Amino acid sequence: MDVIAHTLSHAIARPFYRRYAGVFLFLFFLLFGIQPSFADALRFHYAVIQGILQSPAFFLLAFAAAAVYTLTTILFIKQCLQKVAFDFLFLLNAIPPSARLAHLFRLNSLLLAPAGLYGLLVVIIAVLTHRTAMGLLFLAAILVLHVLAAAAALVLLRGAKMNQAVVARRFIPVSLRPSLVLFLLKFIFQKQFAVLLVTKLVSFAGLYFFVQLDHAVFENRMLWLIFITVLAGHSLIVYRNFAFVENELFFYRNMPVPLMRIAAACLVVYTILLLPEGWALRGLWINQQEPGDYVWMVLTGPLFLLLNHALLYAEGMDTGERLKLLFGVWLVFILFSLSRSHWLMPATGFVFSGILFRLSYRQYLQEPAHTGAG
Amino acid sequence: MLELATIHKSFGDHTVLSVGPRRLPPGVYWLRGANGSGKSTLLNILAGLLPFKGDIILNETISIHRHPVAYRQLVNHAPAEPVFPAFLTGTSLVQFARSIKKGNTGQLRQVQETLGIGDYLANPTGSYSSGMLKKLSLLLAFTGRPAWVLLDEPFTTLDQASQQALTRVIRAQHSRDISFIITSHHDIPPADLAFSGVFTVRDKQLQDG
Repeated sequence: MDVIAHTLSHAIARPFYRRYAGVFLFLFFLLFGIQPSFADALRFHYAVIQGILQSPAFFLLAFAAAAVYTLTTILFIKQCLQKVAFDFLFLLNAIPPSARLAHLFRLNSLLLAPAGLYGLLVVIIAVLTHRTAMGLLFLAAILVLHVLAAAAALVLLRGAKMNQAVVARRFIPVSLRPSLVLFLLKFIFQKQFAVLLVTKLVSFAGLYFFVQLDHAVFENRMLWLIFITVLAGHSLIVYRNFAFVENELFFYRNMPVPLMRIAAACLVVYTILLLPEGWALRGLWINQQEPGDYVWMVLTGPLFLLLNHALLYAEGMDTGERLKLLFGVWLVFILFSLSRSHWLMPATGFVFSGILFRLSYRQYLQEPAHTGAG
Repeated sequence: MLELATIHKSFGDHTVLSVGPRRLPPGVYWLRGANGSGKSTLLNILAGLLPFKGDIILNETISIHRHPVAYRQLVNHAPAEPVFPAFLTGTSLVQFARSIKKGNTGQLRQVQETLGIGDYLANPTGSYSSGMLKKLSLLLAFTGRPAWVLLDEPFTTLDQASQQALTRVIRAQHSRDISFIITSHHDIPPADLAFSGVFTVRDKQLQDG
């Protein structure tokens, strides 16, 4: 491996796998760990690959998963180039574009190795089951993603320090009065765009396609399970919002703002954040004729996120304890969703987030360790 | 010869630089300006790190837009506050820069010795002090066969001995036909470095003196 390839692998590929190690472990567990035996795991993957080769819908689903993964790698490269520490990579602009593209293609091959290896497996199974054309089509689709990822990296690299420029963008076409809601929305859309995009893609697709199922297959409790899991998936955004308010908007604590107005501002932000899910779920009302459940879901979403936000003010919690707490809330809501009283979920969210805000918000800073969120 | 055929730079609606046509013959130039005046932005533009409206032409033929690779081979840059990924070693960064910029290893070793860059290059940059990071960044700026070296606040964070060593390196490199643009908001004693010209970035423009 030459110096450039080695440096790119060391500076970008390794940190990528280190950052997403938890996700890879979770996916590995999901794909290989939940089957009763190794033989069952092989049978499961054989069935999945047969599905990719035989069903266009399944093919597109697998391609979409690979596309989301590719997008994650591109966003990771973008995040690296946004850091001044990676300015030395702009030296690559001093080598010819073809050589640069080759290096970036090689880097992306490392980043996209899991998708590439699965693509190869699909081709092998395709050849063995005489579906070579479909197998090659899948491999070609993965290769297209490789090329697109390398081209995107090339464009990002060419942008050099523009990747780091903070340009005042007006993401809402009208002028709004500066407020906590506006600051939080700007923070979500400008600083958490990558996380937002991936979270929304997964949550929107999961909910939208599930509620499109016909009446015979549709299982209401399953939709609640997916919905509450999707809400738990938003916890990273909630945690970052919390950290943003407590660190970068630290001055806000000194403002004469009623406590409930701060809670209301967070609720407005989380309502706006969950608008795509509200739209994805409208099939519940239209197709499944379940207007009551639809209303409870639309109300539960923002209140679940607000409850998670309020829980972060609890004293002396490290990341592990916060995750346990999130798991606890997820479990409680899952249990409520199994009952017929679905109103319990928004009610719990509303009452407990109100109590927690009142009890914990002021107290949070009294701990000497909390000069802000960690 | 470095020819600036107008440079206009804005971030969104906000114009930060608007420089008229100017020709800089080979030499050592001092670029002054108050904090936030746009010195570093101008240097980033000259180094090909920021897109802009206009053109910069090197040696009458090499345009930053039409010959981006050739231009970047001939223009090196050291930032004011260098940062590198904490887990990479100085050696790997120098090797990386050398594999792109090519050039004479002996010459680079000489710069390394003059600046007093010791064995610490083998350690990850996360263990470096700000002065060591600065020296590494300067070493990278002297890699290859540049025609112009752009040094942003090169004397900041260096101790007095290292500042004198850097002055010696600049003089030695200039005698090998390498030109410099050096930014500083401090006064550099004229006895140390003979400047071919002094410019000030003021009111978004490049002014003489």
